[in-house]
Amino acid sequence: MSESGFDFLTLATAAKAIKSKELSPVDLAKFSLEKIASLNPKLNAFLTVLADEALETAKRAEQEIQRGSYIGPMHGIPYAVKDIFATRGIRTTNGASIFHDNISVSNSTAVDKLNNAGGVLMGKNHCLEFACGDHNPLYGDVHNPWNLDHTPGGSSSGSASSVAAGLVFGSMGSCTGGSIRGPASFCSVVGLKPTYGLVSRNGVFPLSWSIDHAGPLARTVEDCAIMLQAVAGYDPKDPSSANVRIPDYVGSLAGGIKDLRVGVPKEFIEEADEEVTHLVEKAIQVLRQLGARIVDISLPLTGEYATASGNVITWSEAAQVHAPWIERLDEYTKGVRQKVLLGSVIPSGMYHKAQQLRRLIQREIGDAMKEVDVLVGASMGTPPGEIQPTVDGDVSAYNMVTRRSFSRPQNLTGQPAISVPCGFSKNGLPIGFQISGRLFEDDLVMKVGHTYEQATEWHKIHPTI
Amino acid sequence: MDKEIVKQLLLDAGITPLDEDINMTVDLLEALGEQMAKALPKLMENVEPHYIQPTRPEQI
Repeated sequence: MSESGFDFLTLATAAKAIKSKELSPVDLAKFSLEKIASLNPKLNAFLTVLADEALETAKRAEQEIQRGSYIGPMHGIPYAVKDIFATRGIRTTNGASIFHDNISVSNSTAVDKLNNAGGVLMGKNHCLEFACGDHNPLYGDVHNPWNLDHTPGGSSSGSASSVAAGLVFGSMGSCTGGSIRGPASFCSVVGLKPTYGLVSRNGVFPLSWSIDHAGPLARTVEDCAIMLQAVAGYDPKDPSSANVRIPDYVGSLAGGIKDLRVGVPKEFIEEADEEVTHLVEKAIQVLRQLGARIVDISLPLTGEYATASGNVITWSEAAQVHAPWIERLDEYTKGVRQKVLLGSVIPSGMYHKAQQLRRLIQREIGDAMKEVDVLVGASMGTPPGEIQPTVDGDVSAYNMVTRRSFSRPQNLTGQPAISVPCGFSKNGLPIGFQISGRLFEDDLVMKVGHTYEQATEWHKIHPTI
Repeated sequence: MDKEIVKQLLLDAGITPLDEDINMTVDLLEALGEQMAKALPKLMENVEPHYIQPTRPEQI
């Protein structure tokens, strides 16, 4: 396979070519490194590039495959991780100035698993400061490959930007309120927040213990399924890890969605802007044409309280996460500092009330999902906005606690949820479509996403930078 | 929550707040409090809060 054919290959296609020895992992790693060298100055999607290490790993993978020791579809595949995943002997900044020179002493479990699956770690993706910041004066802003003046979303900003631009085949992100699905929506890639407990967060810098998730971003649903297969599974190092059977995620994608009951909660679309609503409704029509039964429902408690409950829990827990560095709070950017201050004064009564509301939201969605198989709606309320490095930290903190989030409910319930591309605004900016399911039915959520994706062309359109 | 209490809580947490920190924290807390206050006590009757899950036998 010639290098000109490498651009925007899917992970699944590259994996097949590597397995059949048509594609060299070394050539693929070199191509990825060249693309990073060429485009990262514009995108700022990588904080650390591991050129020498990646080439060494790729050479080892190539030798293993040549002697018949092919491991599986991640073998020889260039991937990246958000820079809050610990990587042994490699800098992990958490997007923060106080961790600028932090060298991890061990790998996060997800990195170990991807490496053991044969993946080639190309580097560490830029992310929002502590997975909750805004403009980052130390490391700069990440740019959206669809329009460099626009944000790729956050907090897994560099992950989405680098995958969309074809620098790597996939990247691991983390999500506390939409930090995987939001950037995926803004960059026209696929982002999966798996079921809470399915993917270990060991070695991933926390934001809010009871809501944090780790999951993959890739250019297709099948590629996400391949990455999830590598990283899913019980990990005693993560106290929230679930000991459950791991299905064949790629094998579960086929079969279609005829007669599947698709719930459309009005709260998952209302308040989205007109262009988003239009494209999400068109996506729902595609599901209908594919044989799904569309059921309009309402989740009033979720619509009313998910954002407030999520904010109270997130910032209360975040304040405790950051307690060890409280004396260095002046080195945080204003937006992050303000969120930690807020969390430090939230009364315990408010925190417990938020957890009661969370229970009510779980019940409401759980009851709804006795009548439907998946829920769909918008991933984000708008297309990506322009980068605004001068936004005041106070404004950003205030917006965060008052604006409805379409991705927050699934963090509170722990349900799996995926964002798949569903079109572009009139200005050519990406918009995503969200599908969520029952706990541990990540396979069904991906099946719906895959079936929709294969019936549309959005995943075949790539940015020109 | 008034500014003095917020200031004291921040001091207790090891933070030396500026006046603007206190003002903004009070504003944010009020915004969150207003949203949470919409959930009336009756709604919360007999609702056990969510805790981190899953529970596993070896934890006890």
